[in-house]
Amino acid sequence: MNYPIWELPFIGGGLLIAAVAVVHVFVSHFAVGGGLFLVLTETKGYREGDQRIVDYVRFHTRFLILITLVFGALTGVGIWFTIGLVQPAGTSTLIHTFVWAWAIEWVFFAVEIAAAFIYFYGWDRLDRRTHLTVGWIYFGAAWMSLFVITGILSFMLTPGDWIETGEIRDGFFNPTFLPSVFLRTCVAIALAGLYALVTASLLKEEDLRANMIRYSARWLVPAFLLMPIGGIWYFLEVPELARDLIMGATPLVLFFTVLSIALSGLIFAFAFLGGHVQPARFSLISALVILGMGLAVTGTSEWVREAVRKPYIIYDYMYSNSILVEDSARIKREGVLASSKWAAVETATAGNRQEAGEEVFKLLCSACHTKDGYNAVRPLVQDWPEDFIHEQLGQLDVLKPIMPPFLGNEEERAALAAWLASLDGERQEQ
Amino acid sequence: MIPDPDPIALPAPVELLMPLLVLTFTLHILAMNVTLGGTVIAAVSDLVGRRNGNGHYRQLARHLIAMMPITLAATITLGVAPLLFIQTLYGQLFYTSSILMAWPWFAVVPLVIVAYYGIYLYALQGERLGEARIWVGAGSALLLIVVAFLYVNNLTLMLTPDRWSDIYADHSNGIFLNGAEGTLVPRFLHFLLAAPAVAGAFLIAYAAFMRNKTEEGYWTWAARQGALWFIGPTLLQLAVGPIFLVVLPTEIRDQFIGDNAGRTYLLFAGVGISIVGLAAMAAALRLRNPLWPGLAGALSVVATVSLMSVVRHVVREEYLKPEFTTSALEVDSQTVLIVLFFVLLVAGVGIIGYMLRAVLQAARQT
Repeated sequence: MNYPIWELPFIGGGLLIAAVAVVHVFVSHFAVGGGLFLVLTETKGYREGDQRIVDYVRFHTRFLILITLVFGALTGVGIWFTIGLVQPAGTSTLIHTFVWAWAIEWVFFAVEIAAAFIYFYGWDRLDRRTHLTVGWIYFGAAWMSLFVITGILSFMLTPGDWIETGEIRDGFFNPTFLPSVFLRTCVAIALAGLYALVTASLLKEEDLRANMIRYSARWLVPAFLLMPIGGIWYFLEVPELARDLIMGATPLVLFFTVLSIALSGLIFAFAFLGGHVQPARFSLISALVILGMGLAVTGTSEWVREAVRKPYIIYDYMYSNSILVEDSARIKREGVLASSKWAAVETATAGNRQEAGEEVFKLLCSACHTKDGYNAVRPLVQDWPEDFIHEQLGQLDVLKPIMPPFLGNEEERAALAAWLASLDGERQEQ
Repeated sequence: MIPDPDPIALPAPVELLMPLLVLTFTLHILAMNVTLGGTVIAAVSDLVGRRNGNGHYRQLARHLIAMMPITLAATITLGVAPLLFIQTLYGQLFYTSSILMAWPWFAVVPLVIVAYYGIYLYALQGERLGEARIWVGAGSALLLIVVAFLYVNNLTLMLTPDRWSDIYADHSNGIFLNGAEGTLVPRFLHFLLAAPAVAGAFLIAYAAFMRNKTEEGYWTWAARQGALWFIGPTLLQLAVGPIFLVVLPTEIRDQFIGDNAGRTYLLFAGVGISIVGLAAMAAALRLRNPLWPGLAGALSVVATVSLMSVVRHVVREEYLKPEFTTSALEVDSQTVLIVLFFVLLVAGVGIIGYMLRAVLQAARQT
């Protein structure tokens, strides 16, 4: 209510955030796990006295640098840009609560970037021991960065005692923090294997290629053994409503959860059977297909994580449409138009229903819904008479637990109902 | 129509957050200038070298572009910190101006990604690309210039809340640039001209590093190139800077030309040091050993940019004063975390220093 709203037709702001966030997660977890892969594989090369393995790690370093330092780092900044544009109030809460956590994360990030470059350029220059030390510094800093960000991310779903105390330690060390760190670490290690399959499949010498493909495929094993445990742990800590959603209260969430698990299983099967058992027949195409499936799993899992947080941006604190829970009674009383600094219409009356209704939609609904595109309302209210829509709006949170209650006054509810009902007519005219 | 500040209190005193904002911004802008200016200098030197056959130009281009991936990473990393602190102190203003120009602002990220890959392409595959690399470099520089322009748009728009409601009424789709802002072009040019000048100073540091690794003819030539790249744009700056000052709102400008003694000294200290820098760079062109005057000139650049960052900050506060002042914000310090941050910062800088020392030592041995 505090900020202007960026009108994003068809895709909606939520989908834009998701698009940026999913590619970032997919690359940034590789940045973490890939660091471990570099140092352990470099060590393996030295231990086995096989210079070809060392040369492979060197090749893989360039691949990692080009993907993570450019695309990974900038999509991370991109998330800041995007959430600031789409969810400024929620972003502001995260910034104000966790400035120092972010600042600390920034220190780790800076060390991570510096170490990555020095590891990369150090291949020719540093002695083995120093080079490996730099590699370990890279991995340590990258993992610490994951550790800090996860505290803030998991806070959004389970702010825990922070709601009452307002203490940052309560928000940071929240109920889903540790299972999230555990799960994300597993994902990072698995992704290190998936990306390594791509570079390994490019190797020319057949025995080395087979050896490295088999080795990379093994990186998936710990994740696939441990992730079910992490998943259950996480599931037990999420709010009850979120658990219900995963269990099928909203079929789409259940579907995506199952899809994510099924795809993960398939990746393991393909990578392990294809890569580990028959490395000779494992091509670049196979590696890329499996990597693509990895991106799909990232997408579906992050989608589920976001979906189960509904109807909140920050659980029990701020609704998806940026209204603070503690302000909701006042806004219902005074009206959302009057409470908004940027509304084009000041109050809803019997005379301006269409105009006011559209404005109310923008303020209350557009955080999740578009008119015609992603999660569109037009098909949702198709063939619904106005009084039925009006009735539904009165008990949104009861009928659909993933939606906030209607946070406006009676006139605004009538206006929104009128505008929504008119959408059907608009279509018939087309 | 300024949105309310976040209801959550500031987690540290303004007196701590503000210097961090200005300091990290200064470091960011220095790294940015080196990167943008360095990419331009590399592409131009490459082009000149192709025309006149002087191998020095080619070598300079190769060395310079090889450093640009690192300086761009430094720019981004050092940019994250002021981005964090500006949201902490001025969030309600910064988010609003960003939303008003949402699409151009969002475009910053893909533009930097493409520019960055262009720079990597030039640096790692320059030989293979042949002459096309010059255009790759020029393209990346152009994209970075566009990014700088978008930043100037947003950070000026942030200062003029009284114009927001009209803009929002016409552009709620987020397609907007702050073209009507009177200070936009002088401000942009003022920042843009600093890039080759700061990169020139960087070249002198580079020449100093190369002193024991290349023949005297090369590194003295490179240092003089740095002095030239500093002098040309800085002379232009002597025209652009005053224009920027003139187009500032009267009540703000007057503070820097006599109404407020401290602020006047601040501005003119910055101007004065840059003129000393010009003299030092001119000496570097004339003297047989350009290094010492050149390094003095390079130091003056760092001093000028630092002072001007403070001026920029004062100008911002003055713009906003009628509507908003950060000193009115509620504070509830997270002392333990502040201490932890500084401890980790010192440790982090130490670790980076250790790694840099290792790699520089190794470089010296080979």
